[in-house]
Amino acid sequence: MPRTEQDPLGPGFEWRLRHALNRVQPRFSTPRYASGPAPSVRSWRLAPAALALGLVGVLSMSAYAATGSPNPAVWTRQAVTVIQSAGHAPATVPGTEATPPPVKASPHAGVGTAPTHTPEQESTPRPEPSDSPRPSSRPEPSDSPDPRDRSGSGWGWGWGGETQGSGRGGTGSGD
Amino acid sequence: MGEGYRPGSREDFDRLYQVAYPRVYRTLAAILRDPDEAEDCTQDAFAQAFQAWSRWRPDAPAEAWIHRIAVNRAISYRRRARLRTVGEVIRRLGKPSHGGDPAEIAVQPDLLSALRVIPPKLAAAIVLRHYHGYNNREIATALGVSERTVGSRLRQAADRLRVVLEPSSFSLGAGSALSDHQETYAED
Repeated sequence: MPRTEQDPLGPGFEWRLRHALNRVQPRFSTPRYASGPAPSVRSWRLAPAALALGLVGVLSMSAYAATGSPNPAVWTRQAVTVIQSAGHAPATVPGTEATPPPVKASPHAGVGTAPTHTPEQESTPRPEPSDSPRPSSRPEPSDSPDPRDRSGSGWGWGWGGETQGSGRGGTGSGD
Repeated sequence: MGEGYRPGSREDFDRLYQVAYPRVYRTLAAILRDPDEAEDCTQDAFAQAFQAWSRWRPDAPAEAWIHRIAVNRAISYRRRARLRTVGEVIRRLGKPSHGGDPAEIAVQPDLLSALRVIPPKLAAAIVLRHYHGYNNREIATALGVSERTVGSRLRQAADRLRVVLEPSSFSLGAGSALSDHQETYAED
């Protein structure tokens, strides 16, 4: 019965086909399945975990670079500081427009001290939510008190001095 | 076909590879034009089979199962290769996808060249039947189609091969045999 499909091409055809294909010598290279597939499957399954580990590593390195401390608690504190300062940024940004005049007004007084004050400001303002100068600076639109402050002591320095004082006091009282 | 394979057994798969690799390779050599392509597809097929080896069911012959994977790979490989070829696209504009490339046969008038220009599904059916000696059921398993489809493909393959081989087969001295069997086939 299977001969019905064989007949159309005949025994001569079969012989020719065998002859042609027997001449084809398969190349026996290293079995690809032995080296490749199984490990690749495993690696794909582990890919999310590896990715997560990589991300944690990168974050740790960047946090270490930013804070200079390997202590995660310090990173957390720094992160909170940055977030808080970012939250306050809108309040200070308009202030920066106002700050240049005071700097010009008292350039000789603060040039040397400016860099020493600012880092302390950054570290202290956290507990300082009192931020007494800010409320006073926000109501600025009322315009009456602020010009005095600005002209008086150079708003930036005066504020910094206040924050130093109040910051220390704030931390002391807060803690 | 050497059976007794256990699904998931690495040793058995190695044994299957030793036995079936040359046969699968030759099947693909009849479908693909380049020995490198045949080797590549055969290796890929075994790699794919190895991943699914634990799920293989012994109710189907292991070699037919591998053949199925390999032929499918070869078909998609050849399809992609044809689509890549600009000449093929141009040729398709001129005529429907039917028949072989007589120019290729005229240059290299052998049976393998003729097999490589007919559709790969048909070439695979011919090789499985006439070279490997599979019956219709085994071919159906190997190609993932019904036995009726296998019969239809074998007839189509014979028709196509006859058309492709006839001009050159006279020079090879096999033309008369093909013509005689054409009559036999017509009675079917």
